[in-house]
Formats: sequence, C-alpha cells, structure tokens
Amino acid sequence: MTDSEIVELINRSLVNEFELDPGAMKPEAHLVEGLGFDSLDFVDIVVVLQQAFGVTLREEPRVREVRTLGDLHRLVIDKKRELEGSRGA
Amino acid sequence: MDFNRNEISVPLRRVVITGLGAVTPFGCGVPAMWQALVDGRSAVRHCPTLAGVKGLRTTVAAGVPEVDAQSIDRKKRRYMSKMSIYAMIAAQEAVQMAGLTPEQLQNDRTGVCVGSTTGSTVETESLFLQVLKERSIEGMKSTHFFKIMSSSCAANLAQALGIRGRLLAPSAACATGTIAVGLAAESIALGKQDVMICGGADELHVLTVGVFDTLEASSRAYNDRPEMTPRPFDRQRDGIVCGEGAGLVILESLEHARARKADILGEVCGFAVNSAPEDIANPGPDSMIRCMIQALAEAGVGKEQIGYLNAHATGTIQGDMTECQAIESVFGRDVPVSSLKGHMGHTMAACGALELIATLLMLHRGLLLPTRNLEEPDDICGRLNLLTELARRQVDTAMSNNFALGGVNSAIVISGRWIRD
Amino acid sequence: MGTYTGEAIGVQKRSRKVALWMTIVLMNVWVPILMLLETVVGIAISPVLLVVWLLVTRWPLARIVRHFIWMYGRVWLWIVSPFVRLRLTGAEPGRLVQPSIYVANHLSFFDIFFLSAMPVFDVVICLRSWPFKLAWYAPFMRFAQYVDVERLPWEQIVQKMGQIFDDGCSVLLFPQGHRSRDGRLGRFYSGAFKLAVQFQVPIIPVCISGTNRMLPPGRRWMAPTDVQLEYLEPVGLTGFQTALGHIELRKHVKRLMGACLAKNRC
Repeated sequence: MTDSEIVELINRSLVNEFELDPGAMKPEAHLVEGLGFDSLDFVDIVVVLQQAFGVTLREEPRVREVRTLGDLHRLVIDKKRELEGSRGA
Repeated sequence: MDFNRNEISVPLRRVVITGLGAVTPFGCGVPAMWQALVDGRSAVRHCPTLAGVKGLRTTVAAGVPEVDAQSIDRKKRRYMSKMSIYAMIAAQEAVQMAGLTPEQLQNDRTGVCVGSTTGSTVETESLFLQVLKERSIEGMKSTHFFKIMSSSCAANLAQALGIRGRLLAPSAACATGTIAVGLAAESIALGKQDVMICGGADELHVLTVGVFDTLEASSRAYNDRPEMTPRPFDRQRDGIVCGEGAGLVILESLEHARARKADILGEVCGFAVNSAPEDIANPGPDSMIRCMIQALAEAGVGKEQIGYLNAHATGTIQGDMTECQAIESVFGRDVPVSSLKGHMGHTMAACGALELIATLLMLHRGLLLPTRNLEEPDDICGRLNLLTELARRQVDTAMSNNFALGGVNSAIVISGRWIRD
Repeated sequence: MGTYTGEAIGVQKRSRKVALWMTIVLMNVWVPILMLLETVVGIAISPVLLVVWLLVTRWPLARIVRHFIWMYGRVWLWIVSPFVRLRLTGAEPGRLVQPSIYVANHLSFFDIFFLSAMPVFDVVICLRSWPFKLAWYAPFMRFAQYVDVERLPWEQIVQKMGQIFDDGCSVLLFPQGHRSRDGRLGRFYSGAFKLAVQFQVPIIPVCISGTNRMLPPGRRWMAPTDVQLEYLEPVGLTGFQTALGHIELRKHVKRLMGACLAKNRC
C-alpha cells in the first residue's frame, strides 16, 4: 500500500466507525478538540486500526504523543513500514 | 391479488410503505411540508429570475429554499445538480425513517426507481452557453454529462447510496412521481426486488416555466399577489405555478418488512397508467376515467371504498375541469377531493410522490387537507365535494391522480391503516 | 408548534395567533413561579420526608433520593400539563426490564424532567459537569449517585456502574453528549454501549420528540407544545460480543432511534 492509500483507508475507517464528517478529516485536525474523540474512542481507534492494518498500537508508547489526525497517519504508516521491514528481513 | 394473463396466474406480493422523504418549497423534511400544509401556507413567491426574462408573462414560482448539502459526500456530490441533491436529501430521510441498514440497502434485492421530467435544465443551459459561445467542448467538465442525462437523479442516488439492485429512471412529465412509485411497486409485487427507493425530483428553471407560459398554461394574473395562485378548481384560476423539489418513498414487500420488524406506514394497493392519444397537451376525461377504474381494479377495491381523492388539479382552466368531469363519472359527487398544488405549486416530477406522502399522512392523522386558494369553484368542478377546510375524518383507503403533459394519466391507490391480515 | 396551530378547525387565524401569544405569556409566568415554589418547598420538607421514607421503606439512601427526584419530576409534569400534551408509548412496566441502560436523544434542558413520566424511578442519570454546579439540585444529585461523565475517568465510571447494576438500579445516558441544535441525531458516543456489553445489560432506547419546541437551546422562553416519549423494545446483546461489538450496538441503536424519531416527527 502506498502512503496515500493508507491515509485514505484510515480516514474512511474512522469516518465509518465514529460517524465523523468526511469534510473534517484534515491532517491538522485535532483529535480531541477538532474531531471530538473522547478517551473511550481512543481505545476503539486502536482496535479499528489493528483490524484494518494489522498493526498493534496497544503497547506503543508513541500513541500518547498523537494529537492530530496527521500524527495518527504518520504513526500508522511508520508502524506498517516497520512491520513490512521485519517481515522482509 | 391475482393477475390473469393468458390463463396463467401470477401471485403478486403485497407492497408496503416503510419510509418517506421530502424536499419541498417549504424546506427539507416531511414534517416541514406536513406542518405547512396543515397550517394552510403558500410557498409561492415572486421570482426575480423569471421577471428578468423577455417574453415570460408569469413571475411567480415556488422554489426550494437554500438546502444544506454537507451530508452528501463531496465526491458523490460533484455529479449532482440541484434535483439530485434534493432527491438525495429526501432519500436520506426516507432511508432513516425506514431504518434500513447498509447491508439491506446495498444488496441485489434493493433497487431505485426515481425520475425527473428532464435532466438538469440548469446544467444543460450552462453547457450549451459554453459550447455555442466558444463553438468548442473544451469548457465541458467531466461532471456535466452526468448532470444532464435524464437518468441523472436515479444514477446519482444509486451511486451515493451504493444501490446494487434495479436502476429505473422513468420519465413521464408531471406523472413521473406516481409512475415511479407504481413501477417500483410492480417490481416488488412481481418478486423481482424486495426493497425499492422510489419517487421523483425536479429543479426549477426558466425553460420549464417557459414551456407552460408558451402553452398559455401559466398563471399570470397574480404576479403581484403570489400567494393567491395557483387556484385549483377556482372560478378565478388562471394556470400553473411551477415549483421544484423531491419526494421519495421506501417500498418493500410485506414479508421483507415483517422479517426485519419494520414499522409499516401503509400499503400500495394498486396502480394504473395509460395514454391519452387524443391530445398531447391535455388528456380528455375518457382516458382519465379508464385510468382511475383500472387503478381500482388493480387494487381490488370498489369506488365506494375510496374515502379521499387527491387530485392532480394544477390550476389550469381546462385541466381542472376535465379532471373533475372524470372524477364525477367514476366516483359520483360524494368523495372528498382536494389538490395540494395551491400550497406548493406544481413540483413536476416530485408532485406524484409528495402528494402520495401527504395523502398517507392524511390517512394516518385522520385529517383531510383542503385546496388552498379555492374560494368559489366553477360550475363543473363545483359539483364535486371539494374540501375548503381541514376535515377530521378517518379514511382507510385513498387514491391519488396525476395527469400529465404528453397525454399520460396515472392513478395510485394506497391504504394507511394496517388492518388486513 | 403542535396543538395550537393548524389543527384547530374553524377558528379564525387572527384570534388563533392572539390566543397563542396569551398562552405563551401565561406559561412563562405560571411554570417558573410554580417550579420555584415546588423546589423551595421540596428542599424544605426533604429532611422530614427522608426520615419517614427511611423508617417505612428501609431503602438505601440513594434509592430514596432517586424516588424524591422522580416525585419532583412528576409534580413538574403536573405543573406544565396545561401547556404540554405528553404522549408516552412503550413504557409498560412489564417491558422496562431492570437493570437496563436507557439511552435517550437530547433536545432540551427539560428532557430529564419529562423522563420522570416513566413508571421506573430507580435510575441513575449520567450528566456532564454543569448541572452538578446548580447549588439547589447538586446535593440531591450526589446523594442519588448521579455520575459526572465529563469529570470522571472511564475506569471510575465503570466501577460506579458495576455497583449501580449490582444494586438492581438502571442508568440513563445521552449518547449525543449535548443537546442537538438542529434536531438531528448527529454523532453518538460509545460509552453507554461499551457499558452494556461489559455488564451484559440491555439497552432501552428512548425517543424524545417535541421538547425542543418547548425550550430549544439558545431560547429563553417556553412555548406550549406536544411532547412524545417513545420507549423502544429492549435491545439484547446477542450478536454484539465482538471486540468492536459496542460500536455495532451503537450504530444499531442509533438506526432504531433515527427511524422512530423520523416517524414521530411527521
């Protein structure tokens, strides 16, 4: 998957599962203030992304630093690349 | 209900109504339309765009106020002209009311049957202005064609809702809405589909108004008093007022609705459509009579069982009179009759579906709506039982007529009380 | 505006308008005064009533206070009854299993008052922080164990809920999180549904219509109206046991409520 395909899939999954407005899914959108996620939603995001991409974010310390949608995109892309990298090796 | 054809009997399934959606000159939503109708309001206004057109004698119209199309995904919206946006908003309301899940919407057994009288006139004008001026198609955007093709509404709904079943886009002038509902009902009755999203939509444009104006059928005597026109059945009526909007209805087979425990709002009992070859602009009473009788036969109900009749009556001198003659011939003079064109103008392809929705609500509420602007009916129309006030009456079965330009007649019979089993 | 427009047959339009405005003025005088009276008297006699209830019923304190709040709501319904036509459907005691999680759409400040129309009083209401700041209500809310979902972290909420369900008490939540300004359902938060799955407690959807006509967000005066409260069939948890089952449950309940509200609006 290309990076932009990953971003597209993340946005689509979030829009579907959390009933967000597709127009609001900009990289600079703040997850809590902008998109209205609460603490429970963060737990669900981890599961949704796990099911969509196979990446485990549960024990991932970098999750705590995610503030915007763009941060989330980057994190998932990095994790996916790591996953592919370790498989290739 | 059996349909005998060459000695072979095809058992037909029963078709029920489970969702309603509307975008009207009163705004978005069925509640807005119903409340306005009950309050007896008019949506007819002075229309500056019409006033600026040379040769156009009418300057009044019933336009839909600004709608919020944000709920439609941008990627789908770019192929939609106004009529498709109206249809989509109405469809969203109807689907929500029916409580259909994405799986129930997006399978092979759910289809769409939505029509408009013509493809987007607004877009056609803009395209031709472009092409004629430049003598080139370089200004033509990819989205143009999809807004202009006559199946634009149906195609856009199918795309935006993810419909995989039948895609039907009937076009029959003012009878489009009723015919779309009727054909959808037949698809379900014949077992070809289980769920159908059906109805009609149209957008207001100078061209449409111009057509009626040229045929001497548009209302011009009330340009300074818009809310007093159109005046169906009235002695002082002088023609049509054009409107716009969308009416959408969800139809399902009885089994499908029961299986998913849906609330059933009513039943489509019968439908008929026929042609009036005597005159392309004005059907005569004979073909209208045949149409209504056939609808009754299809529904398996006698004329005495029709407790209310929603007339097409657009406010033209000839059309209203002919319709009244036909109604009197079939039903006599007792059945309560009214037309809703006085409130909303003539919403073209949408009117059949919107009038069906309003009629269904009348059956539910036990409240029959009168004709607005009917102060004194003319002699022929006046022989009927024309409602001039809200009437509290519990009616089980009603008929709605639409008689169109191009010599098309349609009639549909619905019941609002879920009593049979 | 429900009862007072349109459906009054045979009344001239002008006098109908005058009658409507007179009713509005009357309502905005009658209701606040009586509400004030009820609240003051209620607070004053509550210690005495408390003692009586303790002796007679032997219920835990929280349950008694919930009963008081419910009775306060009932009196309030009587106060507004000349101006509000209330229709309650689906709230037969046999249908309202206990404990359950009531999930309601939110249109108006008065929603909670209307909810006391249901025959069940032992319900803990989950709210945001601001109602807890109303000094005259706050002590009662705390004794009734109402939960401040804005302030408390999830783990604490879960703990409290466990206790509440063990006591056989039900819970009421507003999954939209705030009053809807356009009457539409908008986004549902997952909390109520996560709790349902975690504690295996059914969801009872409650569809509220009309309260926004009485007092919409942003307006300061009340208007007479029809209000409908429809209680849907309890939603069981079979089929919603997967990792994201609560999200499916949320969507399912939202769909049921959306359909019900759309029909009631017509």
